[in-house]
Amino acid sequence: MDFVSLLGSLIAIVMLALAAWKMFPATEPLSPERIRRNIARYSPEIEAKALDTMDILLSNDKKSAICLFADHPEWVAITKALGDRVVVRFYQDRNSLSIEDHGDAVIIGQSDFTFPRFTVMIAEETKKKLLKLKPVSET
Amino acid sequence: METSILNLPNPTQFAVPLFVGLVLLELVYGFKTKRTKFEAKDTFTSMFMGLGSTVVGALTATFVISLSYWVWSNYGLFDFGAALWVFVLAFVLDDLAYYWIHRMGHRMRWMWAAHVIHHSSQHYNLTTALRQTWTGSLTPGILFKMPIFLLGIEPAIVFFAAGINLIYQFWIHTEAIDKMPRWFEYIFNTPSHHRVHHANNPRYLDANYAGVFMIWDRMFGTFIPEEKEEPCRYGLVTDLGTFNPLRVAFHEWIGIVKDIWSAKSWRDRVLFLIAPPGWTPDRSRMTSDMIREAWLARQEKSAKKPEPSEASLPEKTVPAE
Repeated sequence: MDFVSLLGSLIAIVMLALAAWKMFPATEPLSPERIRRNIARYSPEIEAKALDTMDILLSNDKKSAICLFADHPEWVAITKALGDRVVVRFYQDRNSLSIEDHGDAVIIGQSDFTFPRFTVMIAEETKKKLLKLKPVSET
Repeated sequence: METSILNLPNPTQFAVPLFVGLVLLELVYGFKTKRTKFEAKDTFTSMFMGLGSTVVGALTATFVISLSYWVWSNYGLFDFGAALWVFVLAFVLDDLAYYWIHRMGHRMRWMWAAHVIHHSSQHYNLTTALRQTWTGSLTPGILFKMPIFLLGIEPAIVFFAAGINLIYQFWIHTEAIDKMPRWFEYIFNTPSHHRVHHANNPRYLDANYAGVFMIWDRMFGTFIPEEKEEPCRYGLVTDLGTFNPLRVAFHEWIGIVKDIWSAKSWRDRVLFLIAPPGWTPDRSRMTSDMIREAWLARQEKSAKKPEPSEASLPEKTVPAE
């Protein structure tokens, strides 16, 4: 493959991705129903009652959420909109998650190469709730 | 044995403009009918992985070709020449080899580390066909083609056949086509059969490995038909939380290295490489077999309940996201 065909391929890729962006905009926000449905899909072993009663801490942009389970205080699930799809991670040990306070936002991290740490803007009240989960590393 | 190298074109190079044109056509078709779905970043990632795969393939071709020719010219049993029937035989045998490479690509973590890239999109459209690995040459996949070279078919003919095989597999990555005529569905791989292969529904896991001829799956017991009442959900059983091409390309390799590093015995180290994806000594993660068993157990349990609540309905009712 020469430089010209490499450049041509790159241009074609960008053009097609732009066409996809224009024709198929990903606009659907995360809703509690959508979050529950996806956690049930990823972790079907979680009983329905736990899903119904979980506390959903939704980010301001409604693109990510942290879910706490009332009957299982050690459990935690994170959901994140990835384009028009939803990705979930569920932990039975809350310590698997790191939560850093960054003023208006928090950074959610985990030891998972397939799910890099991400920043969420959340309401002050939600943030307080979230930061109670773990000792906070102030930055 | 003949050692002059047959000069055949690479069919996939000629097919690239066709691929681009068909992706564009599917985009417009999906926009108008809503029968196929795209997402911009997913589309970019899939096509970028395809480009990367082509570049890496060109860089590693010399080694693969040299090894194949060395085996053929030193140990080939017969000299079949380059008649038309040899091309046909090469195509069929290469497709059989593809079936086993592909099956091992799902059942052995070492080979899955390379193949997982192709399954990492949650979408299923023609760009998914282009989402190809960058690390195929780090796996023992080529060994499955050695019997063809040992038989006496020149590697150039086998690689030509593999190129045609790859082109065939492009069009089956779509939701735009429902089912082909019954006779065609029986013999050949089709969009319907391959949707099942890309689905992460427990019922559909580890099925339909065929490249062109579906008969291999029927022969070796891995065929599962697409069921209308259970629409396919695409992607991995644990989907990637990123579109970053580097993470997409190398995530399973990183996982293997981490697991081997922290393994407690040499037996575990070896098994982290050759056991099915998801295997761990303490069963803390799930293989596809374990996922299917758990699903079957839940199905039985929910069938016994007189009136299941909405959230505990059989999983086939959970819509694709």
